[in-house]
Amino acid sequence: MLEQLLLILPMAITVIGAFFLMLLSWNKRFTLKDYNLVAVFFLMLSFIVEFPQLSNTEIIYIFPEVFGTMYIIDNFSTLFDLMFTAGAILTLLINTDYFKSRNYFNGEYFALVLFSVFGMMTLAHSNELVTAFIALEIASLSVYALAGYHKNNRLSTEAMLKYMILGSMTGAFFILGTALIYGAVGSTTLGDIALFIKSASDSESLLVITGGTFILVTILFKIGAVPFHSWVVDVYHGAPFPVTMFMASTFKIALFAIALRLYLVDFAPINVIWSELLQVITVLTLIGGSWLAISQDNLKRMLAGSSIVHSGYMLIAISSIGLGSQEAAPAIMFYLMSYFLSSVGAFGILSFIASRSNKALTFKDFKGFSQRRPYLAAMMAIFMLSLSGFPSTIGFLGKFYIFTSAIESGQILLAGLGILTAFISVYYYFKLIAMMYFYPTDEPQKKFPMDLSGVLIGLMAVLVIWGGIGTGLIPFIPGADGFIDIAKQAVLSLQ
Amino acid sequence: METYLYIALFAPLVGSLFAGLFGARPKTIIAGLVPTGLLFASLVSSTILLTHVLAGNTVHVELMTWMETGDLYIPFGFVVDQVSVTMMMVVTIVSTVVHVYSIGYMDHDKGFNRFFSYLSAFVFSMMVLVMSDNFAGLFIGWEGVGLCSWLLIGFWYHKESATWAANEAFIMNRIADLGMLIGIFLIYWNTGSLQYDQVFAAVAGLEISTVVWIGIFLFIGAMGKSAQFPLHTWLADAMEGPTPVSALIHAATMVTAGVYLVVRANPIYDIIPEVGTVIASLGAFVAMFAASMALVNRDMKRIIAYSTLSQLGYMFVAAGLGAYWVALFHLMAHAFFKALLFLGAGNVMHAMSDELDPFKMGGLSKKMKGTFIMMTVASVALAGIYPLAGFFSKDMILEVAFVEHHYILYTVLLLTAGLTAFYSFRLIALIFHGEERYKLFGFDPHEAYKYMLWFMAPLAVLAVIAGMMFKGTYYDMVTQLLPAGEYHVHSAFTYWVMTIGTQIFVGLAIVYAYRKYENAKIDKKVESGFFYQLLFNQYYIPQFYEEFFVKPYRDLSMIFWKHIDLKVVDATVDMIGNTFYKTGKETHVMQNGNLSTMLRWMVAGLVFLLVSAIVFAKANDIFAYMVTIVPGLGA
Repeated sequence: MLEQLLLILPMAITVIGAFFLMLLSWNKRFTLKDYNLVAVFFLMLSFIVEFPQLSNTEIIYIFPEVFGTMYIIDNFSTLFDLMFTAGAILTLLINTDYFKSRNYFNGEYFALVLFSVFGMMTLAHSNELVTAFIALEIASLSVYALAGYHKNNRLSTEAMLKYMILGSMTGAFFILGTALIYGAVGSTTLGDIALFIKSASDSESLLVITGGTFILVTILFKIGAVPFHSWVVDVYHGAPFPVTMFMASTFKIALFAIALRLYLVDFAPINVIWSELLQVITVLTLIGGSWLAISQDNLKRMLAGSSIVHSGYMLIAISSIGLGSQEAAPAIMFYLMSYFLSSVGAFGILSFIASRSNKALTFKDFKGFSQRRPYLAAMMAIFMLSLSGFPSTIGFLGKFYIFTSAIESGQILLAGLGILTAFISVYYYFKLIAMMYFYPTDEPQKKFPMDLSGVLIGLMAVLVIWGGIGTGLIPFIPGADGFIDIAKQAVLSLQ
Repeated sequence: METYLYIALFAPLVGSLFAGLFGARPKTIIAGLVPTGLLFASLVSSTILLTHVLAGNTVHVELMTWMETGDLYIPFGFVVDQVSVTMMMVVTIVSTVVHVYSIGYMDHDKGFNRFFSYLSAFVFSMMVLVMSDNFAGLFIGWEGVGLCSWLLIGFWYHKESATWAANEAFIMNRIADLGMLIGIFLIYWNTGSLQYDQVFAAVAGLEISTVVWIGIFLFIGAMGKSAQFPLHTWLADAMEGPTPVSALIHAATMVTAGVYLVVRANPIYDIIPEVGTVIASLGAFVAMFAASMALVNRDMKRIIAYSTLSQLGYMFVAAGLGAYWVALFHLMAHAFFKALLFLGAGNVMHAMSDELDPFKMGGLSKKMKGTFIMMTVASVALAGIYPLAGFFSKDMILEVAFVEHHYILYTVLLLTAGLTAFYSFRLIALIFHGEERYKLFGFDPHEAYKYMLWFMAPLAVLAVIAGMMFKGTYYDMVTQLLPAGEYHVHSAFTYWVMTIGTQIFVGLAIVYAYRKYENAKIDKKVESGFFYQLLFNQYYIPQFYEEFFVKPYRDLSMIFWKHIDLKVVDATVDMIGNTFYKTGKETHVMQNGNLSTMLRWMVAGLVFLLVSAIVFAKANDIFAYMVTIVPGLGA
């Protein structure tokens, strides 16, 4: 009993923290800084409690006498939880200055972040479709509200509205898919579905396939795959910086938690059917995302477009899973980690700069940035290199594993296309580096204080490099090889 | 003992990084003192290791695995044995002296901190080179010293000639390194290992032709680093670097790496004496060839550089003839007196505001007594006068050639010994004796800092005693690893005739040089002669290279640039980029931000996916159905 409580403690801490912040926000005496500290405290506590569980290799169902097999705890979900909490902590800490500079933030903001983290954690742990749906909606609803947080800004409101309408529709798809599957299987627990599929004939599993496709559409929508991508650029653009950062880095990861659990384990016997569909979607996503990214002037929109391309890379690996690649699932996990590090860093720098001005940041604003702020420019360059998959960064290894898995499963052309879009991505990422380094600056050098945000961003930059070339020789710190081992271990716990 | 090994190896690296921290800042004396102190620690550790080795032990450590894939296993392994400890001592002694000297020499230089960072990095690379227990580690050190040499030759990068010389040295060495790499690959393919002990054990079982190729390619690498003909031109040009660099890198340590390689690979060269003979012949040729150029040159540093080249030739003669320990012994002795000579030249340069032409000096012995004494000692040692170091090491090489019945080599080397004595004392006479010509040019010479002279003193002492005191001990130590060979002429009579004859010959050359150049009279008739011009223009070899290699290559590159790169490669890349960019701009319309459009796209996507999923899932059923109905249609 007590042991079980300890295992769900990280989730509990997060949700308790959320309620606590809600109550706290009644009181007008507290400043944003206090709320921020409280939120970070709860998240940090959750992270610290959860971290030792990473070495736990058992699979445990929580309170089986009440919930059955609905709620699972394994290495896989623990790793995802850690990424969520770390992502939220970084988002909150890096944006400290941004909160201060905007007057529309208040205590509820932090509560919403914690609620959404709780939703994502539950999503990673859910072993049953209805639980997954509820978790997804908890997370999504919080993010809808966050996206429209700048109430008086037309763009922000528009972003929230679009996101909510489209998101609700896909939420309906998810529950419809669940209903169809329930109709065929008579249960919504993933284990039962897997058993059913293994024994069912082709015609019997048709309903499951239809339901699975609906769920697939929901997932594709949330990760922004073409043709379900149209919201991405507008919403990323309209949402306040901290929210965009949170969505692009953390929320996106959450969807892969449920996608991997579903397609790696439960739909495994029939996911070969989706492989060809996914290949089509992948091609569309890679090319469409590149087109979107290449023609943007606004940096937020460019990163939004490029985040679609990154989803495309992970889709390559998902279809590789269907075609029997062993390396594909760890490759996705690794890619998620690498994308997480690089995009948190890149968005972090943008919001760090945005907190000091009200302008929309375009490429032109970065002209001669290296002269104004050499350290930040260097870090930005590192993140851009990593996002484009430049060797010696973690982004390179991420793409390397993805392409290896694609080649292993015989999808040579898809790997080729991936490499081509990686080349294209060099254009829009290096454009920023070129702007920063090869143009004279219009403005004189300003003294920015180097504070906690700067230190954290610097830490991310070091991690990006370390993940690319780090050696495993230093005890207790995983090197570049260590990260993929962690990913492999996590995926192993699924099977 | 392993601790001392790590200190000896890594202390210079720490020093380099430390000085590198101050790289972009104005001069701080700490950036010079700390690397020097660390280097001294390295010297002390090396000395402790030397006593350990003298007691008959060796140290061998494996720091960590570097590469391990399939059959390939390369560790970061280091070995301190009789050969490497010799090199370690040479490197640490000379570089400690040079570091202290540089604190004074680079006193007024803006790049003071940067200089020490590079210099210590060089020492670290050199230590890796000599201490590695495998060819891969040797190659890392080899490239490391090449890089540091490039950085240091081009240290004054705002001088066009310096950057040019740095690039020349680097490119020449790349050509040779390719040969070396091929040699290392051949070794790996044929023996399956790169560890010295395993390779040398396996090499005896290989076909003789393979070993010949290995020997040749490794020697090509050695030729580049040790500036042997025809890759010799870079060494004289490398004198563009600061003088302490010339003393450390281009006289005492890096250029001897080629000799070290041949000595280290002695089990390979023992199997192929023919290649050894070629090496020895080339060495003798270079000895004479370089000495002849030194006879007429009017640049103080270049004269010493040619002398280095010539002495390297001597070492290769010994190594080629199988007298590896003699080669190594001469390497050591030469390092001491040649570094001393260079540092003395540095003092003179400082005194004369960087003037290099000895004809503009003269009579400096009065103003610069310390430097005068030390440079004279170094020159006497270089000329091989008893009882200084050169006598024991250089004359030994003559004896080797004689005992091995290579009389032509012996004659060449003997003549070269005379030339060496001549040009060395031509330089001394021009700089320190005769009239004080510098007054005409308005120079005001002054002696270097006291501490610089004091720290040069150990080198002077070593140049005097290294041969006399250490030869016996050294022989006992190093022949535990290298093939022994006493190389004594059989009859005592011949021995005495040879020795005394050589001494008299060399002595006469010195006297002749003094008489001729004490008053710096320039003989116009000789100067306009064909031989003088030939020697003065370095046999027109640089011009030859420029005309037949550099220019055609440049022309070819221009053609490739203008016709292939611009018209084919760039055009293709631009075309791909433009096409993609334009399509991106055009499809932008799809993304019009209209919510209805978005919903339409989503529904279209959903329908597409659903239909396809069902069709795929039912494909088998449909196919089976078709199979049943199609024959019916046909019939």
